[in-house]
Amino acid sequence: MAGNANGILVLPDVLSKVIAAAMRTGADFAEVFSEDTLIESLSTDDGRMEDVNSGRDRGAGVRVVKGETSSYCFVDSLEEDALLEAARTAAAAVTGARGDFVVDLIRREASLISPVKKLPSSVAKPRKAEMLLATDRAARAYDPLIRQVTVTLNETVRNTTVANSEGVLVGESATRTLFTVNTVAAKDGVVQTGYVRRGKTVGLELLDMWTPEECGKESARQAIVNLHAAPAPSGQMTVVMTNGWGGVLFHEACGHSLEADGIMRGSSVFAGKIGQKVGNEVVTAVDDPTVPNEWGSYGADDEGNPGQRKVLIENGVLRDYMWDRKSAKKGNHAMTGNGRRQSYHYIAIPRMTNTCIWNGTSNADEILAGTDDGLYAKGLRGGQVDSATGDFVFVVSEAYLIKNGRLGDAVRGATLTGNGLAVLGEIDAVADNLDFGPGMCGKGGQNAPAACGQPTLRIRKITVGGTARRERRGQ
Amino acid sequence: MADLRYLLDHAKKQGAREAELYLMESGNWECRVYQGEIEDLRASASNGLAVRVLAGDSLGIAYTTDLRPEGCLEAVERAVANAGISSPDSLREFFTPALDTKYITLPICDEQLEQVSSEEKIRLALDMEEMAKGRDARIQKVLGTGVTTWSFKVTVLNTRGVNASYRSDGANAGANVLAASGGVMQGGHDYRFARAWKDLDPAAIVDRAVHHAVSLVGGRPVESQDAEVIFDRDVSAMIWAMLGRTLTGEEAQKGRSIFAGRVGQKVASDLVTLIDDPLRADGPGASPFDDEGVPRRTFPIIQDGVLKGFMYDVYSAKKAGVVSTGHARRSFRSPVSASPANLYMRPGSMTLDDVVASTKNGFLVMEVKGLGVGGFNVVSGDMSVGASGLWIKEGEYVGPVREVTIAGNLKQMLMEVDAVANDFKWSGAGTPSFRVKKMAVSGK
Repeated sequence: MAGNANGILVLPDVLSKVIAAAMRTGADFAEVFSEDTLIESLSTDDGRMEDVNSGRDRGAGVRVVKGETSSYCFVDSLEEDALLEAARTAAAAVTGARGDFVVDLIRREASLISPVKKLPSSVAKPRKAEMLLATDRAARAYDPLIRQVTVTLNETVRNTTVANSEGVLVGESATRTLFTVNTVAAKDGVVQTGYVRRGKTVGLELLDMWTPEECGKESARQAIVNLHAAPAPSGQMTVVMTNGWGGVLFHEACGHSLEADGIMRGSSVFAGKIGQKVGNEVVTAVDDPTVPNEWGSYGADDEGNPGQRKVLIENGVLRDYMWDRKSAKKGNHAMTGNGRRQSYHYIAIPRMTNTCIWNGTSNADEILAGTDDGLYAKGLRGGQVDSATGDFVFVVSEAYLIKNGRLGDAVRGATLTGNGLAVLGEIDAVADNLDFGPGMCGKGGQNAPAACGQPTLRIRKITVGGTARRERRGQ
Repeated sequence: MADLRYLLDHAKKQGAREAELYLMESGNWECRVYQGEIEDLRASASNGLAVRVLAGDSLGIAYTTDLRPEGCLEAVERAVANAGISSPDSLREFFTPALDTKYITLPICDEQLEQVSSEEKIRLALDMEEMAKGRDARIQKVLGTGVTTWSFKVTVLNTRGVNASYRSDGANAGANVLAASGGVMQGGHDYRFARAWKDLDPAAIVDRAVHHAVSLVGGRPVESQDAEVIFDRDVSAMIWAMLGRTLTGEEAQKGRSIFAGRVGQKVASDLVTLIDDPLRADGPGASPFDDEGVPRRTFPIIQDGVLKGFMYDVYSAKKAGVVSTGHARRSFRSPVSASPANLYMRPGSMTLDDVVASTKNGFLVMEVKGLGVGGFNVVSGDMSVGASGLWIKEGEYVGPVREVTIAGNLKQMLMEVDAVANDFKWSGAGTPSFRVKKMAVSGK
């Protein structure tokens, strides 16, 4: 069954029976999420093919909702008996009764957002192994100070089917490919790392978009730059961030607070602020799973709703949140197709997809040229945020000082600390070169592929935590 | 689960020289309560089978959650096919038990836990929510309380004679609250693990979560300066859990550990003793054998500041010319690597209050951000993370602090540990709070 484009995994009449069993005790709503995911992963370490793994996650989860309560049970099976048993277990948490429930499932096609050219099964594994080894060689050839290289390729074909008591029946097959290169460079006891991550909702054509050699070289370049970099300064300064993955700052510092579950709980700094100015007018932010082949793209979410483009913040004004079924019911709002789950082991929760600060009108070079003094953050590693306060911290993976509108020396070990709401007001220039980078977003113990994006932008004032002072004193 | 030995035979028929099976069968029950109602209830049994084979000297792996015979056979065949891709390595082998290899029996499965009814578990979560609401006027909201009980059974089977299994279970409870004061919000949470149901202490969990939120609400940045830093026990657990993963033979061999080449040397102050003790049944990671079937033992890693040795699985041990220390760890989805099982830092004799009282100008760090996302580079030892907590002047708390970063290098920090408290708790690792003499705090 796996591999068929947008097929369904369980026969509709079986799904109808399972939904009927789930509704038996008087639930308001029931849903069956079926999944058959195939994973191929290869990794090299130390120039050798180390781990070659194949996996299959096959099973289904049944959700039963009554009032504010939802109950979930999953099984590692797609067989009728097991699904019926899961439905009965989930239904047992709800008390009540109803007569026979009959659902008329209407098959809906998920939009094909991400056509795939090279399915994982269409390329022989020895060929893939050779690509990984070529990456390793390219990284080592870049500089003799490169000591370690780890390359991984993960290919996932995730086949899912959602059916519910409202008649929804949607199947989707999503192929995602992720390629990462870690390098370690060392000299005189100083050890620094470089990291490249490329990922799209595509097949192995990912490595036509960026060749293995380019990825290897780029990772090595970062490690070497950091090896020769001076410790980063500390204090408040102006920061220019390059386009692409740097959007993770918005994702973490603001995006999570725009997910409707936190809004409904009143635990978000953005609760009750629709229509209000929350940022500088150069800031427009969008969440959009319909970007073709982007890492966080899909046709239908994991509750069967079509993915859609949403403007979250428009010229600094808060417009909307991201909603799943549960939060939308509670907030009396339309679902926006943001209900996502890691796998059939989990219930769907509101999540971001491809989230970005949208293109502005400035030019990236002019932003840099117009900045007298500050820090240029060329890469961010990742970050973390406290959803109650909006306080965040980000780790800069590659940074340079800005002097008189030009890039100066490389500096390492910088972090950016601040507050999500505050930083939206501090963004004073946004360029027109939007790009995305792939990440695995964690929330509530579940991981989901999410792309983060932004054009080059400038933050007028933000706290940079560096180690320059400490290292100077230690010498 | 039916006898799986036919899968070992199937692997051999497919061309494997050796084969190993790792079966995980787990059951979870979980409830979350919000505003007096059960918000989420989850009950599930799940299984996963991992297969590793050696064809010649090449390792191939595969897994499946589909435990029908056809699903298992497919996984075996994929593993054999994958062995054809990986680089041959004569050091690859599976664990061969000796004639006298024995597995200890540990009290890690509390039969009574299964007898606790769903109603009782839900009541505990509801009680915690009720308690949290009334604890402090600044608590604006209880974001959720929850109870989880879990059990799992691990079976390891290989063509070298290993055929063993054990069961383990436990319960967790947690609370998540929100404090508000002067228009600013601050979250607070705590969760704890217990082997036995009666050992869960809901009042202590609520107290800790509430204390966390109300003591930090309204924090402000301080001026940039050097200061003493006390890592509260939960933050301490996060740091040690990350460091624990770099204290393995594999990371040392690959030059990815700040501890590489330092066995027998002083790597920390005398106050630091770090032990991995899988035989300590009160810890969540206790088990009689590791995920390759090697018997577990108590393993001192850092003793009074001296690095005693690294943790190994079968492969990394062979590479280093030693024997496995019984630290193989995996999920059924992932390859095997060495990792601590039940890591803990030995508590000191001072109370946390005593440590605070002896601090002149310092920062009790209760939250860090960015640790797991690049803020702590375990290869270089550089640490630079966002922090919130309480500022201390002349032994007294003077107010909450947030939006600052603390930075230092682990090598130096460990040497400068000058106090370890006695407030031990198990979470990711078993840890007390500890103090570092000097770190760079960046704020205003």
